[in-house]
Amino acid sequence: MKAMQRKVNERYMITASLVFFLIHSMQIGIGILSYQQDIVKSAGNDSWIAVIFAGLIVHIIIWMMYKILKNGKGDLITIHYDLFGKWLGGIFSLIWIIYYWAIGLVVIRSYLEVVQVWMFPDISIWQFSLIFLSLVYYLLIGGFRVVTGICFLGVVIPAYLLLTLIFPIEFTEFRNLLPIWNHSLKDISLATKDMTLSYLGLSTLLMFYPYLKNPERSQKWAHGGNLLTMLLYAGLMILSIAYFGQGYLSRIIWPTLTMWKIVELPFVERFEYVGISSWALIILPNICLSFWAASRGVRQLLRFSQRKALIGMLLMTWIIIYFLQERQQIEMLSSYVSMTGFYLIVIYLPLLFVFSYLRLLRR
Amino acid sequence: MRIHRWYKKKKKNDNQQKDNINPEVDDSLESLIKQMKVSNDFIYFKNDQSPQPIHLYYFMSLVDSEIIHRDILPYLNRESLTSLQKLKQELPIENIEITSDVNKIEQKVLRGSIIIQLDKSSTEVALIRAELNKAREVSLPEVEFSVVGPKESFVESLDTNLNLIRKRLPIPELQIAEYSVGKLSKTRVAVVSIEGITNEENVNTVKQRIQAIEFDTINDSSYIVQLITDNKNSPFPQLIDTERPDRIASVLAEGKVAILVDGAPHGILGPTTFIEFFSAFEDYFLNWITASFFRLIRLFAVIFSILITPIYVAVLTYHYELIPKDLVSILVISRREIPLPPILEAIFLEIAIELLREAGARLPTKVGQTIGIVGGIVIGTASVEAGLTSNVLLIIVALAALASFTTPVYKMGNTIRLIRFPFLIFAHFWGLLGVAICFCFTITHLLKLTSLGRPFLEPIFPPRISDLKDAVIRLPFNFQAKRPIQLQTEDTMRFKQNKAKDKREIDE
Amino acid sequence: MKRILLLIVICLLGVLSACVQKQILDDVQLVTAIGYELTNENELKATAVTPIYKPDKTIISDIFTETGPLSKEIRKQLNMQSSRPFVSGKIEIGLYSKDLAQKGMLDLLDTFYRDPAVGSRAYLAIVDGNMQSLLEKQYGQQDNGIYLSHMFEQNIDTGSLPRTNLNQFLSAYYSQGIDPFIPIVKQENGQVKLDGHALFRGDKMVGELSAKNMFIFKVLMDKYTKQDSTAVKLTETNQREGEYVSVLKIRAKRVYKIENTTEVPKITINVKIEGNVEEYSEGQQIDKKIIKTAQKSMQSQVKKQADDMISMFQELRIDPIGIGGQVRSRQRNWDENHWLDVYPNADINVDVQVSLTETGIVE
Repeated sequence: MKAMQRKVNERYMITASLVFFLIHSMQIGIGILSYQQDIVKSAGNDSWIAVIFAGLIVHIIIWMMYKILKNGKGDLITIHYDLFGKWLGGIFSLIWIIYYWAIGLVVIRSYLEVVQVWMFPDISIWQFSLIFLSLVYYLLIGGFRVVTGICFLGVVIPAYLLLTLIFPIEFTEFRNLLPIWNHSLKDISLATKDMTLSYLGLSTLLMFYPYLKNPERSQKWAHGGNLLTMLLYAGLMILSIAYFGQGYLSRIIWPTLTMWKIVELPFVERFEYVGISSWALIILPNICLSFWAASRGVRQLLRFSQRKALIGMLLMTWIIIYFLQERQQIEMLSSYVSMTGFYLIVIYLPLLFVFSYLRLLRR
Repeated sequence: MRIHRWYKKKKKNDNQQKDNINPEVDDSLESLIKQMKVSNDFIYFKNDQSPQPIHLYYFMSLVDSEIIHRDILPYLNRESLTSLQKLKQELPIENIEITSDVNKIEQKVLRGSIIIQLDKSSTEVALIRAELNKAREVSLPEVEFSVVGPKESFVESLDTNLNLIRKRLPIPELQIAEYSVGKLSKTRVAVVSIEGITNEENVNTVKQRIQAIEFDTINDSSYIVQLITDNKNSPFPQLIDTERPDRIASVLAEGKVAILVDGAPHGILGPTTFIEFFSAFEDYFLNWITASFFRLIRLFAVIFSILITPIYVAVLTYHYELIPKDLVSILVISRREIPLPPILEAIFLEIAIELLREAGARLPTKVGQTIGIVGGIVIGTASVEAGLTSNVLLIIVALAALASFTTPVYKMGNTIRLIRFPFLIFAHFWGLLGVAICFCFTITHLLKLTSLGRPFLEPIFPPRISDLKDAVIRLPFNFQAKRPIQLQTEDTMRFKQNKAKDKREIDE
Repeated sequence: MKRILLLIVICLLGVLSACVQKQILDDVQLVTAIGYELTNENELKATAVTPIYKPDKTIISDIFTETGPLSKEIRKQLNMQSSRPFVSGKIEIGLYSKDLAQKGMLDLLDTFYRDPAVGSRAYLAIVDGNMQSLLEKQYGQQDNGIYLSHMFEQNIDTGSLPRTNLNQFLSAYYSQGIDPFIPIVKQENGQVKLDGHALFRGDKMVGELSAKNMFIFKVLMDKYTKQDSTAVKLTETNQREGEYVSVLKIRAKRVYKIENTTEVPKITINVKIEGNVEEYSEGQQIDKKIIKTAQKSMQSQVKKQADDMISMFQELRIDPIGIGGQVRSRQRNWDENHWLDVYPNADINVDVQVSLTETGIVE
């Protein structure tokens, strides 16, 4: 077995500031269309507080990740190898790889579900996913630089969608948010836990860390990306509560999309169709980065050709997507993946942090 | 037949060139002359009037007869002409070469030199340059016409073109490296750069790619573009070609590399960015506010031109909900009689417009104009009246075509017209979602493109804020003191920035 | 190269065979208004209004009626009558007969808000009188759905109609401390006109607000009042008995003051009204005295009407202006049941301040 690649060629590296977009684009995905419902069910009009708490927790996790990566010098796979040896480390790495891959799978399937429900009930799933996955393949063979590019454009181009949030304001009642903090700490912490799931995409940082030119300087950008995500989530939550009222909000599956139904411009009404279409560009970075991380992991772990690993993964995704037909199944898969993510990031990562710190001290 | 034979012989000659180590030089010169004599425009004559017979060989079609009559023949009668060395002193021509290298002789004579031989058996000959330079006068730029600013454009002669550039950049650092490209055409290709400004890496990339070209005839600079471009399978041009010497001079000063090709009235520029294709050189002649406004208009025109017809097709085929309630009636009324689905209607009109454009481009100017107007009016009105297309779509397609012509670089305009069609097809199948997917494919493709190894989408990605000073909008010249980061120039400052930025007090 | 070709072929194959159900604009039957009423056999009778675009570019409306037990079932039956399929994406207004509203609206609205094609801006209205004859008559240059929608829009912007639409109704229905309302329309002298509001408890219509109270209702509940107008009868002195001024461009603001929230709450609503006097029945100069008189008269009139209206609401145990929501937002641990108990006996006062600022371009 050849040694793992610890240093990346300078040519393929990216500037530290782009971490902002990598983190942010990975966090904002399909979740932002529907995250309100679960949170509002437990925290009601205080949901936005839970959103901010979850964001702060994620800040701590980012800080931890940077500590782990700085101590470990390399990506998650090499850190596992160094800390746990070949076999145990390999198993941990494999779990993470499967997790990364599953994120991509869940995102693309959930997006397809939105398309099916809102736009084309009879869209052929295998055809659409074939085209979309070939787009992902075409993009990923361009390497990490192109992935970063799509993450950047996937944030910048759809930013115009923010403007459409002006329209619901006319129909809002911000009094719905008052009184602040009338829920128990238990309710809010439950909502915070649920909300953390919406932030989880950032774990790909563990894989692309070696690709950063000045990794130390990128930390503030990573925090910045997370901060923007937090502000977006919180702002949208406040707007949703003010617009729908918490009673109605807890009954809507995709509040963000429903909110677009109110948009009325002289040349376009019913913005949700434009929004869902534009969303293809927002989920593209999600899918690409997670597949990239998974295939890069396979490359590092098994020294297997990344291209072939990628093809294998995409084929597998394609087949699984075809068999996931019902909403229940999709929801189940999505909650499994979220829970795995939660345990991996909120439980496993701090342990890894402690472990790597102890190792450092012993030396 | 003849060409064929000549080519064959040429090939043999090539082989001989390779076996030059054991030379049969004597034989070779003779055979060369014999080979050339087959052509009727190859002239050989023996000057008997001179004290010593002199043999002259040249191609009538390549040589300026005036030079022969005025500057060569009168001097050949002199007594003193006993050796070729003497010839150098006697003739009032500066560049007389004496050689016995057959390859060189062949090359020179085919470029319009005269061979002078004193003795028919001698292998040593003198070569006198007397080529006929028949080139067009420097004229108005036609493709990149500008209302204000210089009105000269390149012609088909490399020397004239280099002269036009050198006149604008009279500095010793302006370096020109010349290559001969093309197995048959032997086209002269010049790589122009400014030492100390242009990044050596860029110049070397260009030089390497030009040297690596394997091709028979290079008829135009666009051949070179296609042969050295980074991604040959992309519809997007990755190098700009321009007919304006002022544009070349100004981008050379920015740190780009220019390529000029003999016989081509266009220069090539690189590395470029996507945005640069939408900036006309005229932007620099106008005040920065106006120039920026026009750039924005042009950018809007591009987006409009690509997306409007696909969006029409998508919305009318799938998303009737999107149409505002007051617009519904207009659209329905205009489409009520039309039997075709929106996609066929759109493709029909798009192709009609493409036909008009193509016909207008192929026909002589006067006829072309008439065809454009007549075709546009007659076909447009008739197809609406016949109920084949709706008049709303007619307006949309005509505007989209008009918008695509605002792109200052012709090749980019073609690309824009082309990529509309995949968008249309995707729009037909998946509505707006299809448009979005197609858009994703396009930007992915653009992200992967490079121009001479530099990112093509810069300064958008990688985001370089300081390069935005001359991208979507053009800031005033005092903001342009730094050369673009994209070019990685050796000297990053264009001029000293004026530091005096203190705000003057009112009325003082 | 070969790979790219393969990719293109796959893409083309995928796309070319991927066809989604088309809804070409001129091949569908756009429903712009739909009316529901109960037949004598207790079945649902739906009347759909669709525009017909005539060759001379005029638009007339056409109606289709059908009866059945379920509203989606009716759509299927309607399709049997038409050469083109009915689509719901352009429904501008849903109309309901009074008896239907009294039985409960939610199951009927379900088809509206569950359908992603129906916009949130669709209006709802209760029809007083014969539904079919109201929808049959040609009112303007457009079809009746668009005509009614423009009528509502115009009255929200410049008249006495508070902001109302499908989303507002649902938001009020699901929120605690506010009850929904819907405007009533009726046909009079061949024209359709707004005639008060239907008041709901839950999803059942329990009362009516007469047309002359619409102004007060809007002042008390709508987020913005900018363009309203009313006539004021001068009552202050005997001298001016029977004289009227008309007040235009009314801007209204409210401030709630709530005391003693536990037992019998004491609620004061401070209403500030600004407006311009634009017409005086006597046609004389409007001097300061008259303005003062007008202000006082208006204050007392508005106060009286508002008090009457609120006590009517209390009697009906409904809260369309959202007083409960105001209390809720000022109080932690607000309990809806407790509020419903105390609300009918709550001491609710309206305090009105009127300032009339301009008198047109002459004195």
